[in-house]
Amino acid sequence: MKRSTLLYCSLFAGIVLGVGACKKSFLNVNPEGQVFESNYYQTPDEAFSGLVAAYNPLAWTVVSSYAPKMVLLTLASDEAYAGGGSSSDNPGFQAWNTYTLNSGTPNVPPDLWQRNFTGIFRVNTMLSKINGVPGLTTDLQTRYTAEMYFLRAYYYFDLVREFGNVPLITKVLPQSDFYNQVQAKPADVYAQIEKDLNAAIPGLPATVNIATEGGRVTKGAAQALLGKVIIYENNNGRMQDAANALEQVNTSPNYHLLPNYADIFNPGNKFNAESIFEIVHTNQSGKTWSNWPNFDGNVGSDGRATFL
Amino acid sequence: MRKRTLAGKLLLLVLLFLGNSTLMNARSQTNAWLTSYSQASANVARQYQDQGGQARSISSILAEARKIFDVDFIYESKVMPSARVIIDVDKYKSVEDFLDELLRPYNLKYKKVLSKAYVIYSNNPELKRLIASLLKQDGMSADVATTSSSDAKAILVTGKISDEKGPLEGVSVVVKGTSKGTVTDKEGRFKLEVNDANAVLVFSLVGYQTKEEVVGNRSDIALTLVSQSQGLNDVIVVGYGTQKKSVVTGAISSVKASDLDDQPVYRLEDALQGRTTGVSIAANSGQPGSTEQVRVRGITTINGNDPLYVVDGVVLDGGGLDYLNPADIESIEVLKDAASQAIYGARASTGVILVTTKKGKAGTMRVSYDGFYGSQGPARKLHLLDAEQYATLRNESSLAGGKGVIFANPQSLGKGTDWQSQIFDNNASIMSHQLSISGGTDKSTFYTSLGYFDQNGIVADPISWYKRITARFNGAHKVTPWLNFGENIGYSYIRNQGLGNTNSEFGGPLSSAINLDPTTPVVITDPTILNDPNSIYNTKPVVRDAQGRPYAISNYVGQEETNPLAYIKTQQGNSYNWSHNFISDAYMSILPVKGLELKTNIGTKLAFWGTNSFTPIYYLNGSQGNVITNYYRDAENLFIWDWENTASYNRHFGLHNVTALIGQSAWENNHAQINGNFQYMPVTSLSQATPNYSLPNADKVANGKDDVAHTLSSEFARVVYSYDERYLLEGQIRRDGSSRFGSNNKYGYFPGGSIGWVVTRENFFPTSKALSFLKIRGSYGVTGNDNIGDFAYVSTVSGGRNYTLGNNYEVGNSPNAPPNPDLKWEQTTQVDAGLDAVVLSNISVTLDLYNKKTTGMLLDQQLPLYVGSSANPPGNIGNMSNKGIELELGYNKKVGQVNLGLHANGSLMQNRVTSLGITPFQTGAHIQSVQYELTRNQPGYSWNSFYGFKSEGIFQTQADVANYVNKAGQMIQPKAKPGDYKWADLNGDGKISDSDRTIIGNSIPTYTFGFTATAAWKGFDILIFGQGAGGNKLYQGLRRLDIQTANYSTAALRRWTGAGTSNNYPRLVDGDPNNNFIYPSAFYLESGAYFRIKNLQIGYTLPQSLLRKATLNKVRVYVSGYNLITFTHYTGYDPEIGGINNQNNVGIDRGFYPQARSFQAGLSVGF
Repeated sequence: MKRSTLLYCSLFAGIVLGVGACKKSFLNVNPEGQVFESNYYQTPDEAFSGLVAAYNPLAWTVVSSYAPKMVLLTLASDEAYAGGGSSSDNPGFQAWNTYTLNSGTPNVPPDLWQRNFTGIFRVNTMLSKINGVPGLTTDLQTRYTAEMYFLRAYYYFDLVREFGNVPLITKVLPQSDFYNQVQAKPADVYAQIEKDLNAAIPGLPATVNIATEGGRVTKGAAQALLGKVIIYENNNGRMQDAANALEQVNTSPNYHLLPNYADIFNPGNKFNAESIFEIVHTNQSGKTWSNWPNFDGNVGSDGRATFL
Repeated sequence: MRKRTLAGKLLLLVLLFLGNSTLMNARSQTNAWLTSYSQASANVARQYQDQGGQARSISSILAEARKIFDVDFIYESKVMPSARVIIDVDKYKSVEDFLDELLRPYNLKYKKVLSKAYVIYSNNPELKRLIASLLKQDGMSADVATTSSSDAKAILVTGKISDEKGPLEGVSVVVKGTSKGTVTDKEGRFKLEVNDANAVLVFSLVGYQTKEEVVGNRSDIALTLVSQSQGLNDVIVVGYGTQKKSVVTGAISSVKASDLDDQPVYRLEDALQGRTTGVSIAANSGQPGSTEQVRVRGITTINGNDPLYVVDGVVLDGGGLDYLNPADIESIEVLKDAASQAIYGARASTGVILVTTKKGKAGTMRVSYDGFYGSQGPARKLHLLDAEQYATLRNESSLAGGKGVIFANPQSLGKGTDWQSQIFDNNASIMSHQLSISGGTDKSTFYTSLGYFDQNGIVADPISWYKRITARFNGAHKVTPWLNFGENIGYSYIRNQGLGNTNSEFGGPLSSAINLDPTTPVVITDPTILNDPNSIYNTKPVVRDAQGRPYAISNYVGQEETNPLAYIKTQQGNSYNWSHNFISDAYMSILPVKGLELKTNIGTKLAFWGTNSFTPIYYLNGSQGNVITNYYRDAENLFIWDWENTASYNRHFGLHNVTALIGQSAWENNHAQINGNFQYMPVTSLSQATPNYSLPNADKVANGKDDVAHTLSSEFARVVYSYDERYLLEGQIRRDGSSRFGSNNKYGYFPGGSIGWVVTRENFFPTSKALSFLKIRGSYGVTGNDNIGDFAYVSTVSGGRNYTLGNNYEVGNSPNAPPNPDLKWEQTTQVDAGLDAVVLSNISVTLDLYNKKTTGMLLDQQLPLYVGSSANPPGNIGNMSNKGIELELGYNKKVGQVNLGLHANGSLMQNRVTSLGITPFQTGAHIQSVQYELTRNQPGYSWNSFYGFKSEGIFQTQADVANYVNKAGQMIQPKAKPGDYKWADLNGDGKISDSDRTIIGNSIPTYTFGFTATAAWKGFDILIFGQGAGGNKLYQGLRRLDIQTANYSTAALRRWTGAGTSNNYPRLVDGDPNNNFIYPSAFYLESGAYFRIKNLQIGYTLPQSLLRKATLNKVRVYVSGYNLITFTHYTGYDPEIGGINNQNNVGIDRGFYPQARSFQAGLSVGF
């Protein structure tokens, strides 16, 4: 009996130890259809989808509620009044109209803030991933990187004009830095915008295939934005820099004024020679009011969700 | 050291022996008296053959051991404790091992004095005396010998000992002052010779009060022993083991099968309600088969609060517990303190419930049948307006709203339709049948049972029913003395149908019956409507009754509130849920050396369940209809396996007792689901529907789901030490690795420790009847909750972030929330201090105080928007605290021929959300058109507290409205009219806005209590079980506010109708311009306190004398009333409201399916 007892006990101990040995992988379970960031950006297609996501906030017109940038900017101009059913209709719009925006104004300021910082996060994410995408050609890598720099400049240009002092974030924040960002001076933000645009220009194509890539960033778009940014910096000593940048666009064979002014407004005439950078809206997304607030396109031109 | 000196002395004595020529004589003499002593015990030993595994007196065990080991034992009978113990003599390899185990707890020593004789003694003088008496050839002192044939005047006494339930076996009967004694047999009978009529007999049995009787001139003594209340020798189940209750240092509530004896317990949770402290149970619905909400020591977290269930050592996830037939349950233990819970580590913080199923006992095969049949009905109905009252109030409300009269002549309408009586069934049946067989040999035992349970609902019973078949086979086998094997296998098949919404304002028979106007008839009989070709009854697929009459559709109340009978008809026979559950475990244990047990246990839960339903074409009202038939079939499966390996070691060293345990386990849970919808099937009912119909693919839609597997890999250890059962010490630790924890915190450590001091075992403590037992104990531990979701710690990528490029709508993907690799379990630490005492010999007291703190409750981090992520990652952020006091009292006494028993318990608890990080509050439940959330989790307040406006009464006159002004002198409620609420301007800003809301009530009970009172007289027994809870508010949200034509409760008759008429029920006005009703306020809050006579039972057990003729063991018949009376001020159906599916529903009554009141008759028969 003693011998067999020992035998069984060793067998038993063996089993127990065996279980212990395989436990590391035992805790790593199948994600069942969830895609992890850590496993993503592994193919050229995945990199492209990341690029698309970085463009996506450009088209946002609804964030928590209506916050279409063009409508708001127009309301602050002489071209339009907020209108609506009464002075309490869409108070965010009314406040833009009457220059009474403050921290209590509903939705509009945080919405604009969120739209641009969302874009910046997606740009920073792409920039952190783009160098390690297997199979992505050097050309595409260069072009994507340049587009990201452009988009970051574009989003920061909006932020610095809308808010003045904003946190300047040029990489994906680690957990430890979520709560300790400080506001940068506008001059620093502008410096970063120029830096990004200058970094973008060499890597961008002069033209794109309008049918498949219309709306993607071109060299001309970056040069034009750089010129505009310098002008907004309002530094008389640098106006020549702005002129130099804009000159490149003016002298480019890819851009000229359309002979017929009305053609600019013809829906069939998208991405024409007069258009340097377009934010593209679509009615193909199939989104309806039930998708609120995620229209992905323009709530004003989505076909189904008409507004204004 | 002490031992060695003793051994030296002994050696001397043995030498003395050896030098004595009468040695052989002495030995044979010893054998002779031992044999004579053993005569009394001989039948005990014989009984052992049938009854192995049962507690026996030590002397009877020695008698058996004497045969097995072929040795003699010599002792003074008076030193033998009267304790009865369970010990399996066969399993000991040597007589020393056996004696070690048997005698140590009683501080008895033994010495081998001859090759085949052992002296058992408690002190040295005794040892000397014994040896000296052995040396005397002609016998021993009176203390040692048990029979003395020299006493000519001996009287033979016989008798029968029983308790309130029947004959008592194994009662020790000893002649006081001597060692003469015997033990009662199976029928409670004994036979003993005493010297004279003055002899006093002492009757004792563990668990009963010892009794002394003078023999006198009686030759036949009939006695009833009264059981002791304290139950200190009860063995209770703890994680990975058992402990004697008297040495337990944790806070553990225990419910035994005997506490539930023949009481109607439909579900496992029923057994705990009102019978345990610190455990709050609330029915989630009165629908048959509905789960009940179980909360151990309050609300532990803002996330899932269901306790961990461990059935026969197998860890099962909560839910689906109804596969367990309550009649198969031997005991339920609730581990409440963190030290006891810590052995279950990362899943224990919400409490651990250990369920042990019944096992077989060696001996005669026992067959028993238990069953009951009953009739159920609603305990109460709501008081709603009749047609005339309804029409009057509707007219008033419409006029006040500036519109015309709706009902020209309310008086003509009479009573109208009582919709409640249409849906309630006053005679819904309930029945249960259970047949069990158990038995076995000393090598192998089994328990097997078959059960059937069938319950119809009291609301809409054609679509509210539940049937369950259960089967169980539990076996244990002793392959060799050192190898054991066993299995516990349970199976259940359940089929049920639910009426859908059991606590919802959105339709279903209950909500409809409450809200439908009483002016609408049940069916349309008016020929002008029936014959009108344009009426909906002729143009729409309306539902008709058995006689072909269309069920009426209300002209006033619509939306989800439909004719309940029409609704029932569309569901009847068209939907059911089914489930198969196999829960089994098999174990093997090896005892390689004394005290060491190696055990491996594999448990599985294999469950299959699903739904079959058919939606016919119907028209219930303008918004509720179905135009496409749909056949839906869902199939789900769940597989849990749990492999536990343990090594435990138990040794006594003198008065020191050490038990050590180490173990390791692996656990996995998988769930998958697939379902399909088949549309346009050319059938009209479920019985005809089948996926075999050939349908175009477009009409077949499939969905499914694979849950992420949940795995745990764990190691654990525990050491229990006690000295003389006086000083108690216990420590445990578990390490859990979970698939759900972040990569930086893959493993968590959960330690716990407890101490106890049995003061009454101290020598200095005076022996007194006033306080015969006192144990003080304390514990501290850390536990976790890994119910934090799968892969919550990683950053996932999602699509939908699309953009148009050229003519193409391109798909964009990006990360959602940033990863949180630090994500870990929610951690709960708990301090518990308690005491167990027995006072005045028959009152047992258990008192516990605890303070429980949960930290790191999972909550979405509020990231600054500049981080730019599309979602917020969960973090370990929130804190919660729970404090409480629990008191349990037990009392047993025999007054004359009546045995009385009372067990009462009460718990007080206080819950606080202490922090939600930077999140100021979380919003909770909403109810249809009430403008704001009803509840909030807000730091400083109880979890899920009611939140709303405060009224300062009702404006009685226009002057009151005008006088209610702010500091600037402006009217605060300029639009209010007399009869409207005067809302309190809590923030003092001079107007009423959403910031004038505040915490207005507590939704969770702050106290629970229960008691069981029993009385038995001869064969009759009566039991009253009551239970209650309170300290909370209930939100009485039964009336639909968005349907202003909905019916009212009769409370509306006390509404404001003019100055001085009411200061709490505002005027009725269409549109509710002052938000009197659509603001959440104390108007809807009612006290949730209740006390309920849960069970009143009267039974009769047939006397044994009758049964023996029919070879029956037990026959008991009983009648009982369940949920008999509820005392409460609450105006809804039932104040006991759990949270269905969503714990934020706690305390909110949207039309709660009430629990049934039932009357039932039952029968128990044992062979």
